[in-house]
Amino acid sequence: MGSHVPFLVEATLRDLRRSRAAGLGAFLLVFLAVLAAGSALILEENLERIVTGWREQVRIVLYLDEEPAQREEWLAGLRTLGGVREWRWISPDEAMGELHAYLGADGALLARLPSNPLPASVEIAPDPALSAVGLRALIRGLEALPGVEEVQGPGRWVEWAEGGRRVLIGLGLGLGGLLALVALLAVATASTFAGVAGREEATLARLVGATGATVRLPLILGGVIHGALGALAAVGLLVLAEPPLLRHLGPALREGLGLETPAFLGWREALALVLGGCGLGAFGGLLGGRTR
Amino acid sequence: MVEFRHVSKVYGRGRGRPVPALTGVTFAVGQDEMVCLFGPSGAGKTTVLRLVSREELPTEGEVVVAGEEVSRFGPRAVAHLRRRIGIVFQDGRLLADRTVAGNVAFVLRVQGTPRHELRERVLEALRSVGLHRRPNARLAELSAEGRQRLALARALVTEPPLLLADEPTGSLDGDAAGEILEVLRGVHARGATLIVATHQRAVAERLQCRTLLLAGGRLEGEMARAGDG
Repeated sequence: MGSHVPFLVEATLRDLRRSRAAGLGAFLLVFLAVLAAGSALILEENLERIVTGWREQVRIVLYLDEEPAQREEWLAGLRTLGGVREWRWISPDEAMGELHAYLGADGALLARLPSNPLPASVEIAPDPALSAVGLRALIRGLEALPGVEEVQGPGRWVEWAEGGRRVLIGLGLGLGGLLALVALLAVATASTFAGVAGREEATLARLVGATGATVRLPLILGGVIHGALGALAAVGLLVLAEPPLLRHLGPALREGLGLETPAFLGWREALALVLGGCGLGAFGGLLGGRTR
Repeated sequence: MVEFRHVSKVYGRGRGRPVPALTGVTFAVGQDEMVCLFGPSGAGKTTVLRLVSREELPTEGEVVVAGEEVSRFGPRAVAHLRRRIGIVFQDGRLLADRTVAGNVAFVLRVQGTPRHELRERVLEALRSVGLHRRPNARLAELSAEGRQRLALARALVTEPPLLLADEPTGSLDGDAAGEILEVLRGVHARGATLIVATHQRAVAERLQCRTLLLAGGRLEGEMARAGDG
């Protein structure tokens, strides 16, 4: 096999020259597909961070009818519920103190009350990894605890944030998938052009002892080169775009969405995208290689 | 070396009107032998050569090359078979976008010849047909005779034990054809088996080889060798 390398290299370069405009189209479409996929990956990671940041601030407050007689035992019941990260017991006196502090100068009015009307409560910080469905299940579990009069949860914004994230990622991946399909067809078309243009040479190669694989491999290698170049260009653009994007969008993301450190492509993601481009090119080349 | 056993070939079976090209052809070509297939156009000479190189499969009968029935070969075995056969195609099949040396080197590259051997072997093949002074000439710069010589050099570069030549002198005139035939005689003298298809009686006579007469896809017999009395 080693001594076939010069033939394969030469044949691949000839096929690349033969595909010309179709090859350029294949390169551009792979570039766009990988750019869309890379952007979707970046979007997914950052939305995940934003939603996780928001979830860390989620608090559930349980208002109790009356203080449980066996407080420790009652609190132990909380531990049996999944998704509780930590909790804080707030006695009626602590609640009154907090209200007093909140009202500031108007807090003096509270002293006129004949007795403290505030119930004991428990402030719960749920696990940030908990999904909207998990959060709903946790709230239902908390409502079922003995002595709980009311549960104040985060409302439905967690579900909306999750749904929005899913829609955006779905759109990104859908666009990337569609572009990948088009890019695959473009690579296959470029390989087909090259295959048809070099048919005479391929036929001769077969007649002088080339195997089918030797004749088709240059088209597959050509596809891999189109895919690799397109993917490298897209990954390169995403990497180069990181500093200016951070400079311009960083403050807005931090202040508007609470995203302290936006994520960009790591080397694993970059490698996966380049390999994906190569795989797409190889498959396209394989489809085009059927012309030989 | 090559044996045909009751071989028939029909083109276009299942697609329009079938065209019989060979009917019940049986013959054998021994090791180191030179055989001419002589007959008019459409006699089936090219079909015989295409069956030997496994470009075609027989409709009936067996084609045996070097002791093996080639119809049973898988793709790898076919590739291996073709590496042992040199072919001078009737239509040349030269690559227009390559130089003289490039056309010859193509075969060696396909067969994975190491780079350090390539140049010397190409020049040797070109020398054997008298083209060694023009390795960098483009195909368009060659005369019909030059192209014929190049096709021969390409077939000889791998030093194949079996050479198939389909109308190797084409439409060349006497002197030019004579030189090509001399090269073929030299190849045979070096121990290769040759099967030459021709429609020119003079070619068979000048090669002084056993000549099989083909007509209408049938083997009509053997022609007496010149000088055999």
